[in-house]
Amino acid sequence: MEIVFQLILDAILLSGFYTLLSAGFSLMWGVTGIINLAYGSLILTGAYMAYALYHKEVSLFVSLPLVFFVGMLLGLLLQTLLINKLMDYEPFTVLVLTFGLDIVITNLLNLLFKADIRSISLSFESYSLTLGVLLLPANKVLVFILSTLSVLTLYIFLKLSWIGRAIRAVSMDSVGAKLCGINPKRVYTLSTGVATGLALFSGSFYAMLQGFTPFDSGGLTIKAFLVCVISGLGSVSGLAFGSFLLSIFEVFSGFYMGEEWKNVVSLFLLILFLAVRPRGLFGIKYHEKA
Amino acid sequence: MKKRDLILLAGLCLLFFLPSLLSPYWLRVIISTLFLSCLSYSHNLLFYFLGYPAFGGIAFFGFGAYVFSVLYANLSYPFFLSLLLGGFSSLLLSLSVSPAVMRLKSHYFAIATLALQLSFMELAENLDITGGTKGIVFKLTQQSNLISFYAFLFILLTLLTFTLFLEISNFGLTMKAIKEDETTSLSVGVNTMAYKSLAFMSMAFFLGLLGGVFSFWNAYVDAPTLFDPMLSVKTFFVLTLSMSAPLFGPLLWSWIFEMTFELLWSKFLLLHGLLLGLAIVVLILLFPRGLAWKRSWKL
Repeated sequence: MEIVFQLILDAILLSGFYTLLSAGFSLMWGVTGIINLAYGSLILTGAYMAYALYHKEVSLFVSLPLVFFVGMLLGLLLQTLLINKLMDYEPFTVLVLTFGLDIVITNLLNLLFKADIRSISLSFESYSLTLGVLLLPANKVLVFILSTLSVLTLYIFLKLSWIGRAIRAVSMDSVGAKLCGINPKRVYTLSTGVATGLALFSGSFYAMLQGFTPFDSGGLTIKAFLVCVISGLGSVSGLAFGSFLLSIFEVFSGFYMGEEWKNVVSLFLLILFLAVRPRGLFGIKYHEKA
Repeated sequence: MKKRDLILLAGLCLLFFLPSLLSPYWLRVIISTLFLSCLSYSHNLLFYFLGYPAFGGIAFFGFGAYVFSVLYANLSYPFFLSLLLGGFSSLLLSLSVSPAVMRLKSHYFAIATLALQLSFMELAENLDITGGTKGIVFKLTQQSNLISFYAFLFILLTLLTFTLFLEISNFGLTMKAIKEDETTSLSVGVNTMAYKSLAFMSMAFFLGLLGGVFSFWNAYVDAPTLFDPMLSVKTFFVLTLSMSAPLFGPLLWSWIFEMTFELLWSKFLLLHGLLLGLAIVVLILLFPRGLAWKRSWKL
Protein backbone atom coordinates (compact mmCIF):
# COMPACT_ATOMS: atom_id res chain seq x y z
CA MET A 1 0.00 0.00 0.00
CA GLU A 2 2.89 2.35 0.73
CA ILE A 3 3.87 2.15 -2.89
CA VAL A 4 0.61 3.82 -3.95
CA PHE A 5 1.30 6.77 -1.66
CA GLN A 6 4.85 6.94 -2.91
CA LEU A 7 3.61 7.03 -6.50
CA ILE A 8 1.06 9.73 -5.72
CA LEU A 9 3.79 11.75 -4.06
CA ASP A 10 6.03 11.32 -7.13
CA ALA A 11 3.17 12.45 -9.32
CA ILE A 12 2.62 15.56 -7.23
CA LEU A 13 6.31 16.47 -7.38
CA LEU A 14 6.35 15.90 -11.14
CA SER A 15 3.17 17.89 -11.71
CA GLY A 16 4.84 21.05 -10.37
CA PHE A 17 7.38 20.81 -13.16
CA TYR A 18 4.74 20.02 -15.79
CA THR A 19 2.74 23.07 -14.78
CA LEU A 20 5.72 25.31 -15.37
CA LEU A 21 6.59 23.49 -18.58
CA SER A 22 3.17 24.02 -20.08
CA ALA A 23 2.60 27.54 -18.72
CA GLY A 24 4.49 29.23 -21.54
CA PHE A 25 2.88 27.09 -24.19
CA SER A 26 -0.55 27.84 -22.81
CA LEU A 27 0.17 31.58 -22.57
CA MET A 28 1.33 31.81 -26.16
CA TRP A 29 -1.52 29.69 -27.49
CA GLY A 30 -4.16 31.48 -25.49
CA VAL A 31 -3.03 34.99 -26.36
CA THR A 32 -1.63 34.82 -29.88
CA GLY A 33 -3.45 31.69 -31.02
CA ILE A 34 -0.16 30.15 -32.08
CA ILE A 35 0.75 26.57 -31.39
CA ASN A 36 4.48 26.74 -31.06
CA LEU A 37 5.86 23.46 -32.35
CA ALA A 38 9.37 24.70 -31.55
CA TYR A 39 8.47 24.83 -27.86
CA GLY A 40 10.18 21.55 -27.02
CA SER A 41 13.41 22.60 -28.66
CA LEU A 42 13.25 25.91 -26.80
CA ILE A 43 12.98 23.97 -23.56
CA LEU A 44 16.05 22.01 -24.58
CA THR A 45 17.88 25.23 -25.43
CA GLY A 46 17.29 26.26 -21.83
CA ALA A 47 18.45 22.86 -20.63
CA TYR A 48 21.70 23.11 -22.57
CA MET A 49 22.23 26.67 -21.44
CA ALA A 50 21.79 25.67 -17.83
CA TYR A 51 24.11 22.74 -18.44
CA ALA A 52 26.82 24.98 -19.92
CA LEU A 53 26.48 27.53 -17.11
CA TYR A 54 26.56 24.78 -14.52
CA HIS A 55 29.84 23.52 -15.90
CA LYS A 56 31.22 27.06 -15.79
CA GLU A 57 30.35 26.85 -12.08
CA VAL A 58 27.86 29.69 -12.18
CA SER A 59 25.57 29.51 -9.18
CA LEU A 60 21.91 28.62 -9.63
CA PHE A 61 20.80 32.01 -8.32
CA VAL A 62 22.51 33.68 -11.26
CA SER A 63 21.97 31.08 -13.95
CA LEU A 64 18.20 30.61 -13.52
CA PRO A 65 17.26 34.29 -14.02
CA LEU A 66 19.86 34.56 -16.77
CA VAL A 67 18.30 31.67 -18.67
CA PHE A 68 14.87 33.27 -18.28
CA PHE A 69 15.97 36.65 -19.61
CA VAL A 70 17.87 35.19 -22.54
CA GLY A 71 14.74 33.22 -23.36
CA MET A 72 12.62 36.32 -23.15
CA LEU A 73 14.94 38.17 -25.51
CA LEU A 74 14.84 35.22 -27.88
CA GLY A 75 11.06 35.24 -27.77
CA LEU A 76 10.86 38.97 -28.50
CA LEU A 77 13.12 38.48 -31.50
CA LEU A 78 11.14 35.44 -32.61
CA GLN A 79 7.88 37.33 -32.58
CA THR A 80 9.09 40.58 -34.16
CA LEU A 81 11.39 39.11 -36.79
CA LEU A 82 9.55 35.99 -37.82
CA ILE A 83 6.04 35.41 -36.56
CA ASN A 84 4.69 38.96 -37.04
CA LYS A 85 5.45 38.60 -40.74
CA LEU A 86 2.98 35.74 -40.99
CA MET A 87 0.22 36.92 -38.63
CA ASP A 88 -1.98 38.12 -41.50
CA TYR A 89 -1.75 34.93 -43.52
CA GLU A 90 -3.26 31.54 -42.92
CA PRO A 91 -2.54 30.32 -39.39
CA PHE A 92 -1.25 27.12 -40.89
CA THR A 93 1.85 28.95 -42.16
CA VAL A 94 2.90 29.80 -38.60
CA LEU A 95 2.59 26.14 -37.73
CA VAL A 96 4.96 25.26 -40.57
CA LEU A 97 7.31 28.06 -39.53
CA THR A 98 7.58 26.77 -35.97
CA PHE A 99 8.02 23.24 -37.30
CA GLY A 100 10.97 24.50 -39.36
CA LEU A 101 12.38 26.34 -36.36
CA ASP A 102 12.15 23.17 -34.34
CA ILE A 103 14.34 21.36 -36.86
CA VAL A 104 16.80 24.26 -36.98
CA ILE A 105 17.18 24.51 -33.20
CA THR A 106 17.41 20.76 -32.73
CA ASN A 107 20.15 20.50 -35.33
CA LEU A 108 22.02 23.50 -33.96
CA LEU A 109 21.99 21.96 -30.49
CA ASN A 110 23.16 18.70 -31.97
CA LEU A 111 26.05 20.45 -33.72
CA LEU A 112 27.03 22.41 -30.62
CA PHE A 113 26.63 19.79 -27.93
CA LYS A 114 26.58 16.44 -29.80
CA ALA A 115 23.89 13.86 -29.28
CA ASP A 116 25.23 12.39 -26.03
CA ILE A 117 22.89 12.28 -23.09
CA ARG A 118 23.63 15.16 -20.70
CA SER A 119 22.33 15.99 -17.27
CA ILE A 120 23.04 18.29 -14.37
CA SER A 121 23.79 16.48 -11.13
CA LEU A 122 23.46 18.87 -8.23
CA SER A 123 25.83 18.50 -5.33
CA PHE A 124 23.06 17.50 -2.95
CA GLU A 125 21.39 15.12 -5.39
CA SER A 126 22.20 12.02 -3.39
CA TYR A 127 20.30 13.32 -0.38
CA SER A 128 16.72 12.31 0.09
CA LEU A 129 14.25 13.53 2.61
CA THR A 130 12.08 10.93 4.23
CA LEU A 131 8.51 11.32 5.27
CA GLY A 132 7.73 8.22 7.29
CA VAL A 133 8.25 5.44 4.79
CA LEU A 134 8.01 7.80 1.84
CA LEU A 135 11.05 9.01 -0.02
CA LEU A 136 11.53 12.54 -1.35
CA PRO A 137 14.58 12.95 -3.63
CA ALA A 138 16.16 16.35 -3.04
CA ASN A 139 16.34 17.44 -6.68
CA LYS A 140 12.67 16.70 -7.28
CA VAL A 141 11.66 18.62 -4.18
CA LEU A 142 13.80 21.59 -5.22
CA VAL A 143 12.33 21.60 -8.73
CA PHE A 144 8.81 21.31 -7.32
CA ILE A 145 9.28 24.24 -4.97
CA LEU A 146 10.93 26.49 -7.54
CA SER A 147 8.41 25.63 -10.25
CA THR A 148 5.50 26.28 -7.96
CA LEU A 149 6.96 29.61 -6.92
CA SER A 150 7.49 30.61 -10.56
CA VAL A 151 3.97 29.62 -11.56
CA LEU A 152 2.61 31.60 -8.61
CA THR A 153 4.63 34.61 -9.72
CA LEU A 154 3.23 34.26 -13.22
CA TYR A 155 -0.26 33.99 -11.81
CA ILE A 156 0.13 37.14 -9.73
CA PHE A 157 1.70 38.95 -12.69
CA LEU A 158 -1.21 38.05 -14.95
CA LYS A 159 -3.81 38.79 -12.29
CA LEU A 160 -2.60 42.08 -10.84
CA SER A 161 -0.17 43.97 -13.04
CA TRP A 162 -1.38 46.30 -15.78
CA ILE A 163 0.51 44.33 -18.43
CA GLY A 164 -0.89 41.07 -17.14
CA ARG A 165 -4.40 42.44 -17.35
CA ALA A 166 -3.72 43.66 -20.88
CA ILE A 167 -2.53 40.19 -21.86
CA ARG A 168 -5.68 38.62 -20.46
CA ALA A 169 -7.82 41.23 -22.16
CA VAL A 170 -6.31 40.54 -25.56
CA SER A 171 -6.70 36.81 -25.11
CA MET A 172 -10.39 37.24 -24.32
CA ASP A 173 -11.25 39.72 -27.06
CA SER A 174 -8.58 41.44 -29.10
CA VAL A 175 -10.99 43.92 -30.73
CA GLY A 176 -12.41 44.95 -27.38
CA ALA A 177 -8.91 45.35 -26.01
CA LYS A 178 -8.02 47.54 -28.96
CA LEU A 179 -10.97 49.80 -28.14
CA CYS A 180 -9.60 50.24 -24.64
CA GLY A 181 -6.29 51.46 -25.98
CA ILE A 182 -4.26 48.27 -25.87
CA ASN A 183 -2.01 47.56 -28.82
CA PRO A 184 -2.52 43.83 -29.53
CA LYS A 185 0.69 43.53 -31.56
CA ARG A 186 2.71 44.65 -28.55
CA VAL A 187 0.87 42.28 -26.29
CA TYR A 188 1.55 39.44 -28.74
CA THR A 189 5.25 40.27 -28.71
CA LEU A 190 5.32 40.48 -24.96
CA SER A 191 3.48 37.24 -24.36
CA THR A 192 5.66 35.36 -26.83
CA GLY A 193 8.64 36.80 -24.97
CA VAL A 194 7.38 35.67 -21.59
CA ALA A 195 6.34 32.29 -23.01
CA THR A 196 9.76 31.65 -24.53
CA GLY A 197 11.40 32.80 -21.33
CA LEU A 198 9.31 30.29 -19.42
CA ALA A 199 10.24 27.58 -21.92
CA LEU A 200 13.96 28.10 -21.41
CA PHE A 201 13.47 28.50 -17.68
CA SER A 202 11.64 25.19 -17.39
CA GLY A 203 14.43 23.69 -19.47
CA SER A 204 16.93 24.29 -16.73
CA PHE A 205 14.70 22.30 -14.37
CA TYR A 206 14.34 19.58 -16.96
CA ALA A 207 18.11 19.28 -16.93
CA MET A 208 18.06 18.77 -13.17
CA LEU A 209 15.39 16.09 -13.32
CA GLN A 210 16.64 13.80 -16.07
CA GLY A 211 19.12 13.28 -18.86
CA PHE A 212 18.40 14.91 -22.20
CA THR A 213 19.49 14.89 -25.84
CA PRO A 214 18.73 17.43 -28.62
CA PHE A 215 16.14 15.04 -30.04
CA ASP A 216 13.71 15.07 -27.10
CA SER A 217 11.92 18.13 -28.41
CA GLY A 218 8.93 16.44 -30.05
CA GLY A 219 7.98 14.60 -26.90
CA LEU A 220 8.26 17.78 -24.82
CA THR A 221 6.07 19.78 -27.19
CA ILE A 222 3.45 17.04 -27.14
CA LYS A 223 3.57 17.01 -23.34
CA ALA A 224 3.00 20.76 -23.10
CA PHE A 225 0.21 20.46 -25.64
CA LEU A 226 -1.32 17.57 -23.73
CA VAL A 227 -1.45 19.51 -20.48
CA CYS A 228 -3.06 22.46 -22.28
CA VAL A 229 -5.66 20.22 -23.91
CA ILE A 230 -6.55 18.49 -20.64
CA SER A 231 -6.86 21.70 -18.68
CA GLY A 232 -8.07 24.10 -21.34
CA LEU A 233 -6.76 27.56 -22.08
CA GLY A 234 -6.98 30.57 -19.85
CA SER A 235 -6.71 29.21 -16.34
CA VAL A 236 -3.56 28.74 -14.30
CA SER A 237 -5.18 26.54 -11.65
CA GLY A 238 -6.63 24.41 -14.44
CA LEU A 239 -3.11 23.99 -15.74
CA ALA A 240 -1.97 22.70 -12.36
CA PHE A 241 -4.80 20.18 -12.30
CA GLY A 242 -4.10 19.06 -15.87
CA SER A 243 -0.45 18.53 -15.02
CA PHE A 244 -1.43 16.54 -11.97
CA LEU A 245 -3.72 14.31 -14.02
CA LEU A 246 -1.02 13.74 -16.63
CA SER A 247 1.65 12.92 -14.08
CA ILE A 248 -0.67 10.55 -12.22
CA PHE A 249 -1.28 8.69 -15.47
CA GLU A 250 2.41 8.69 -16.35
CA VAL A 251 3.69 7.60 -12.97
CA PHE A 252 1.14 4.84 -12.47
CA SER A 253 1.34 3.44 -16.00
CA GLY A 254 5.12 3.64 -15.82
CA PHE A 255 5.12 1.61 -12.63
CA TYR A 256 2.45 -0.96 -13.33
CA MET A 257 2.74 -1.45 -17.09
CA GLY A 258 6.41 -0.70 -17.59
CA GLU A 259 8.29 2.46 -18.48
CA GLU A 260 7.93 1.88 -22.21
CA TRP A 261 4.12 2.08 -22.04
CA LYS A 262 4.13 5.48 -20.34
CA ASN A 263 4.07 7.48 -23.55
CA VAL A 264 1.49 5.26 -25.20
CA VAL A 265 -0.87 5.85 -22.31
CA SER A 266 -0.41 9.61 -22.26
CA LEU A 267 -0.81 9.88 -26.03
CA PHE A 268 -4.04 7.92 -25.92
CA LEU A 269 -5.13 10.25 -23.14
CA LEU A 270 -4.50 13.14 -25.53
CA ILE A 271 -6.51 11.55 -28.33
CA LEU A 272 -9.31 10.79 -25.91
CA PHE A 273 -9.46 14.38 -24.71
CA LEU A 274 -9.33 15.79 -28.22
CA ALA A 275 -12.17 13.50 -29.20
CA VAL A 276 -14.40 13.96 -26.19
CA ARG A 277 -13.72 17.40 -24.82
CA PRO A 278 -11.42 19.50 -27.00
CA ARG A 279 -11.84 22.65 -24.95
CA GLY A 280 -10.43 20.92 -21.91
CA LEU A 281 -11.71 20.56 -18.38
CA PHE A 282 -11.49 24.21 -17.39
CA GLY A 283 -11.24 25.83 -20.81
CA ILE A 284 -13.16 28.98 -21.53
CA LYS A 285 -13.31 28.51 -25.25
CA TYR A 286 -12.38 26.14 -28.03
CA HIS A 287 -10.01 28.18 -30.15
CA GLU A 288 -11.37 27.89 -33.65
CA LYS A 289 -9.69 30.95 -35.05
CA ALA A 290 -6.24 29.41 -35.13
CA MET B 1 -9.62 18.89 -68.30
CA LYS B 2 -7.58 20.84 -70.78
CA LYS B 3 -5.31 19.74 -73.54
CA ARG B 4 -2.05 20.49 -71.77
CA ASP B 5 -3.05 18.37 -68.82
CA LEU B 6 -3.56 15.46 -71.15
CA ILE B 7 -0.14 16.11 -72.60
CA LEU B 8 1.32 16.12 -69.12
CA LEU B 9 -0.37 12.86 -68.25
CA ALA B 10 0.95 11.36 -71.45
CA GLY B 11 4.41 12.59 -70.52
CA LEU B 12 4.08 10.88 -67.17
CA CYS B 13 3.20 7.65 -68.93
CA LEU B 14 6.51 7.91 -70.73
CA LEU B 15 8.12 7.45 -67.34
CA PHE B 16 7.22 3.79 -67.71
CA PHE B 17 10.24 3.33 -69.92
CA LEU B 18 12.58 5.16 -67.59
CA PRO B 19 14.09 2.21 -65.67
CA SER B 20 15.72 0.76 -68.76
CA LEU B 21 17.59 4.04 -69.31
CA LEU B 22 18.88 4.68 -65.82
CA SER B 23 21.61 3.31 -63.61
CA PRO B 24 20.37 1.69 -60.38
CA TYR B 25 21.53 4.68 -58.33
CA TRP B 26 19.48 7.19 -60.32
CA LEU B 27 16.57 4.80 -60.39
CA ARG B 28 16.59 4.89 -56.61
CA VAL B 29 16.69 8.70 -56.63
CA ILE B 30 13.77 8.79 -59.05
CA ILE B 31 11.86 6.36 -56.85
CA SER B 32 12.35 8.63 -53.86
CA THR B 33 10.93 11.58 -55.81
CA LEU B 34 7.97 9.46 -56.86
CA PHE B 35 7.51 8.43 -53.25
CA LEU B 36 7.52 12.01 -52.01
CA SER B 37 5.08 13.18 -54.66
CA CYS B 38 2.76 10.29 -53.82
CA LEU B 39 2.88 11.29 -50.15
CA SER B 40 2.14 14.91 -51.06
CA TYR B 41 -0.78 14.08 -53.31
CA SER B 42 -2.35 11.82 -50.72
CA HIS B 43 -2.10 14.49 -48.05
CA ASN B 44 -3.37 17.02 -50.55
CA LEU B 45 -6.68 15.16 -50.84
CA LEU B 46 -7.40 16.47 -47.38
CA PHE B 47 -5.29 19.62 -47.32
CA TYR B 48 -6.19 21.19 -50.65
CA PHE B 49 -9.83 20.19 -50.86
CA LEU B 50 -10.78 20.53 -47.21
CA GLY B 51 -8.01 22.60 -45.66
CA TYR B 52 -7.19 19.95 -43.08
CA PRO B 53 -3.46 19.61 -42.44
CA ALA B 54 -2.91 16.00 -41.39
CA PHE B 55 0.47 16.56 -39.78
CA GLY B 56 0.50 13.01 -38.53
CA GLY B 57 -0.99 11.37 -41.59
CA ILE B 58 2.10 9.18 -41.52
CA ALA B 59 0.25 7.18 -38.86
CA PHE B 60 -1.77 5.56 -41.65
CA PHE B 61 1.32 5.10 -43.76
CA GLY B 62 3.04 3.21 -40.98
CA PHE B 63 -0.05 1.20 -40.11
CA GLY B 64 -0.50 0.04 -43.70
CA ALA B 65 3.20 -0.70 -43.92
CA TYR B 66 3.10 -2.92 -40.86
CA VAL B 67 0.03 -4.79 -42.07
CA PHE B 68 1.75 -5.36 -45.40
CA SER B 69 5.02 -6.43 -43.81
CA VAL B 70 3.45 -8.89 -41.43
CA LEU B 71 1.31 -10.41 -44.18
CA TYR B 72 3.97 -10.46 -46.87
CA ALA B 73 7.16 -11.19 -44.99
CA ASN B 74 5.95 -13.22 -42.02
CA LEU B 75 2.89 -15.01 -43.38
CA SER B 76 4.07 -15.03 -47.03
CA TYR B 77 0.84 -13.80 -48.56
CA PRO B 78 1.05 -12.79 -52.23
CA PHE B 79 2.45 -9.32 -52.91
CA PHE B 80 -0.59 -7.58 -54.34
CA LEU B 81 -3.01 -9.11 -51.89
CA SER B 82 -0.98 -7.94 -48.90
CA LEU B 83 -0.57 -4.52 -50.49
CA LEU B 84 -4.31 -4.12 -50.91
CA LEU B 85 -4.99 -5.48 -47.45
CA GLY B 86 -2.54 -2.94 -46.08
CA GLY B 87 -4.38 -0.14 -47.83
CA PHE B 88 -7.77 -1.33 -46.69
CA SER B 89 -6.72 -1.79 -43.10
CA SER B 90 -5.50 1.81 -43.08
CA LEU B 91 -8.85 2.79 -44.50
CA LEU B 92 -10.67 0.90 -41.77
CA LEU B 93 -8.47 2.50 -39.13
CA SER B 94 -9.25 5.96 -40.47
CA LEU B 95 -12.95 5.10 -40.55
CA SER B 96 -12.80 4.18 -36.89
CA VAL B 97 -11.03 7.35 -35.79
CA SER B 98 -12.70 9.79 -38.17
CA PRO B 99 -15.84 10.49 -36.07
CA ALA B 100 -13.55 11.78 -33.34
CA VAL B 101 -10.76 13.35 -35.36
CA MET B 102 -12.68 15.00 -38.18
CA ARG B 103 -14.73 17.05 -35.74
CA LEU B 104 -11.62 18.99 -34.81
CA LYS B 105 -10.37 22.13 -36.49
CA SER B 106 -6.95 23.02 -37.92
CA HIS B 107 -4.48 23.04 -35.00
CA TYR B 108 -6.35 20.51 -32.96
CA PHE B 109 -6.70 18.25 -35.96
CA ALA B 110 -3.02 18.56 -36.87
CA ILE B 111 -1.90 17.67 -33.36
CA ALA B 112 -4.46 14.91 -32.92
CA THR B 113 -3.11 13.11 -35.97
CA LEU B 114 0.42 13.76 -34.77
CA ALA B 115 -0.48 12.16 -31.45
CA LEU B 116 -1.93 9.21 -33.33
CA GLN B 117 1.32 8.84 -35.22
CA LEU B 118 3.49 9.01 -32.10
CA SER B 119 1.30 6.58 -30.17
CA PHE B 120 1.43 4.09 -33.03
CA MET B 121 5.18 4.43 -33.09
CA GLU B 122 5.36 3.64 -29.38
CA LEU B 123 2.91 0.77 -29.81
CA ALA B 124 4.87 -0.73 -32.69
CA GLU B 125 8.03 -0.63 -30.63
CA ASN B 126 6.40 -2.51 -27.78
CA LEU B 127 4.34 -5.14 -29.55
CA ASP B 128 5.61 -8.57 -30.55
CA ILE B 129 3.85 -8.87 -33.89
CA THR B 130 5.71 -5.87 -35.29
CA GLY B 131 9.06 -7.31 -34.33
CA GLY B 132 9.46 -4.72 -31.58
CA THR B 133 12.59 -2.64 -31.93
CA LYS B 134 14.18 -5.29 -34.14
CA GLY B 135 11.71 -4.67 -36.94
CA ILE B 136 10.90 -6.91 -39.89
CA VAL B 137 13.40 -7.87 -42.57
CA PHE B 138 12.40 -8.71 -46.15
CA LYS B 139 14.06 -10.94 -48.67
CA LEU B 140 15.64 -8.69 -51.24
CA THR B 141 15.39 -9.67 -54.89
CA GLN B 142 16.93 -8.32 -58.07
CA GLN B 143 13.60 -6.98 -59.16
CA SER B 144 12.54 -5.18 -56.01
CA ASN B 145 13.74 -1.79 -57.20
CA LEU B 146 11.92 -2.19 -60.49
CA ILE B 147 8.71 -3.45 -58.93
CA SER B 148 8.66 -0.58 -56.45
CA PHE B 149 9.25 1.90 -59.26
CA TYR B 150 6.24 0.70 -61.19
CA ALA B 151 4.11 0.42 -58.07
CA PHE B 152 4.92 4.00 -57.02
CA LEU B 153 4.36 5.25 -60.55
CA PHE B 154 1.02 3.51 -60.72
CA ILE B 155 -0.09 4.97 -57.39
CA LEU B 156 1.10 8.42 -58.46
CA LEU B 157 -0.88 8.28 -61.70
CA THR B 158 -3.95 7.05 -59.85
CA LEU B 159 -3.62 9.86 -57.32
CA LEU B 160 -3.18 12.45 -60.06
CA THR B 161 -6.20 11.20 -61.97
CA PHE B 162 -8.21 11.13 -58.78
CA THR B 163 -7.18 14.69 -57.90
CA LEU B 164 -8.02 15.95 -61.39
CA PHE B 165 -11.34 14.15 -61.22
CA LEU B 166 -12.12 15.74 -57.86
CA GLU B 167 -11.14 19.14 -59.22
CA ILE B 168 -13.79 19.04 -61.94
CA SER B 169 -16.43 16.97 -60.17
CA ASN B 170 -19.25 18.05 -57.93
CA PHE B 171 -17.74 16.08 -55.12
CA GLY B 172 -14.60 18.18 -55.09
CA LEU B 173 -16.60 21.39 -55.34
CA THR B 174 -18.64 20.39 -52.33
CA MET B 175 -15.49 19.72 -50.38
CA LYS B 176 -14.15 23.15 -51.28
CA ALA B 177 -17.43 24.67 -50.14
CA ILE B 178 -16.99 22.94 -46.79
CA LYS B 179 -13.46 24.31 -46.62
CA GLU B 180 -14.74 27.84 -47.22
CA ASP B 181 -17.59 27.74 -44.75
CA GLU B 182 -18.70 24.62 -43.00
CA THR B 183 -21.72 26.12 -41.28
CA THR B 184 -23.17 27.46 -44.49
CA SER B 185 -22.60 24.13 -46.21
CA LEU B 186 -24.44 22.42 -43.39
CA SER B 187 -27.31 24.85 -43.69
CA VAL B 188 -27.78 24.12 -47.38
CA GLY B 189 -28.06 20.46 -46.57
CA VAL B 190 -24.59 19.06 -47.16
CA ASN B 191 -23.66 16.21 -44.87
CA THR B 192 -20.24 17.68 -44.15
CA MET B 193 -19.16 14.85 -41.87
CA ALA B 194 -19.67 12.29 -44.63
CA TYR B 195 -17.60 14.29 -47.11
CA LYS B 196 -14.85 14.91 -44.60
CA SER B 197 -14.73 11.26 -43.60
CA LEU B 198 -14.60 10.12 -47.21
CA ALA B 199 -11.70 12.43 -47.97
CA PHE B 200 -9.95 11.28 -44.82
CA MET B 201 -10.49 7.64 -45.71
CA SER B 202 -9.22 8.03 -49.24
CA MET B 203 -6.09 9.71 -47.92
CA ALA B 204 -5.59 6.87 -45.46
CA PHE B 205 -6.13 4.24 -48.14
CA PHE B 206 -3.48 5.71 -50.43
CA LEU B 207 -1.10 6.18 -47.52
CA GLY B 208 -1.58 2.54 -46.53
CA LEU B 209 -0.78 1.40 -50.06
CA LEU B 210 2.29 3.63 -50.09
CA GLY B 211 3.40 2.18 -46.78
CA GLY B 212 3.32 -1.29 -48.28
CA VAL B 213 5.31 -0.36 -51.36
CA PHE B 214 7.76 1.63 -49.26
CA SER B 215 8.47 -1.28 -46.94
CA PHE B 216 8.97 -3.58 -49.90
CA TRP B 217 11.35 -1.06 -51.45
CA ASN B 218 13.20 -0.41 -48.21
CA ALA B 219 13.42 -4.17 -47.49
CA TYR B 220 13.49 -3.47 -43.77
CA VAL B 221 10.95 -1.83 -41.52
CA ASP B 222 11.00 -0.68 -37.93
CA ALA B 223 9.03 1.93 -36.03
CA PRO B 224 11.43 4.91 -36.41
CA THR B 225 11.63 4.44 -40.19
CA LEU B 226 7.91 4.04 -40.73
CA PHE B 227 6.71 6.75 -38.38
CA ASP B 228 9.53 9.16 -39.16
CA PRO B 229 8.31 12.76 -38.52
CA MET B 230 10.70 13.83 -41.29
CA LEU B 231 8.32 12.27 -43.80
CA SER B 232 5.52 14.63 -42.76
CA VAL B 233 7.91 17.58 -42.66
CA LYS B 234 8.99 16.94 -46.23
CA THR B 235 5.41 16.43 -47.34
CA PHE B 236 4.16 19.64 -45.80
CA PHE B 237 7.13 21.56 -47.07
CA VAL B 238 6.15 20.49 -50.58
CA LEU B 239 2.47 21.17 -49.94
CA THR B 240 3.08 24.65 -48.53
CA LEU B 241 5.13 25.60 -51.55
CA SER B 242 2.50 24.32 -53.92
CA MET B 243 -0.47 25.96 -52.24
CA SER B 244 -1.10 28.18 -55.22
CA ALA B 245 -0.59 25.41 -57.74
CA PRO B 246 -2.20 22.50 -55.94
CA LEU B 247 -2.69 20.21 -58.90
CA PHE B 248 0.75 19.89 -60.39
CA GLY B 249 2.79 21.82 -57.83
CA PRO B 250 3.46 18.80 -55.60
CA LEU B 251 4.93 16.93 -58.54
CA LEU B 252 7.33 19.72 -59.40
CA TRP B 253 8.29 20.61 -55.87
CA SER B 254 8.94 17.08 -54.72
CA TRP B 255 11.13 16.70 -57.77
CA ILE B 256 13.13 19.83 -56.94
CA PHE B 257 13.25 18.96 -53.27
CA GLU B 258 14.56 15.42 -53.66
CA MET B 259 17.09 16.39 -56.30
CA THR B 260 18.43 19.28 -54.23
CA PHE B 261 18.68 17.19 -51.13
CA GLU B 262 20.17 14.24 -52.89
CA LEU B 263 23.00 16.57 -53.92
CA LEU B 264 23.21 18.32 -50.54
CA TRP B 265 22.99 15.10 -48.58
CA SER B 266 26.24 13.79 -49.91
CA LYS B 267 28.04 17.15 -49.56
CA PHE B 268 26.98 18.26 -46.08
CA LEU B 269 26.43 15.14 -44.07
CA LEU B 270 26.24 16.95 -40.75
CA LEU B 271 24.43 20.03 -41.89
CA HIS B 272 21.61 18.73 -44.02
CA GLY B 273 19.06 18.74 -41.22
CA LEU B 274 19.93 22.31 -40.38
CA LEU B 275 19.71 23.33 -44.04
CA LEU B 276 16.34 21.67 -44.38
CA GLY B 277 15.00 23.56 -41.38
CA LEU B 278 16.43 26.85 -42.60
CA ALA B 279 14.98 26.27 -46.05
CA ILE B 280 11.54 25.71 -44.54
CA VAL B 281 11.74 28.86 -42.40
CA VAL B 282 13.03 31.08 -45.19
CA LEU B 283 10.65 29.81 -47.86
CA ILE B 284 7.57 30.10 -45.67
CA LEU B 285 8.56 33.67 -44.79
CA LEU B 286 9.15 34.59 -48.42
CA PHE B 287 6.15 32.82 -49.90
CA PRO B 288 3.42 32.54 -47.29
CA ARG B 289 0.86 31.96 -50.01
CA GLY B 290 2.89 29.27 -51.73
CA LEU B 291 4.97 29.58 -54.79
CA ALA B 292 3.34 28.95 -58.13
CA TRP B 293 5.62 27.65 -60.77
CA LYS B 294 3.43 29.49 -63.22
CA ARG B 295 0.33 31.16 -61.94
CA SER B 296 -1.75 30.47 -65.02
CA TRP B 297 -1.23 26.75 -64.56
CA LYS B 298 -4.49 26.21 -62.78
CA LEU B 299 -7.37 24.22 -64.06
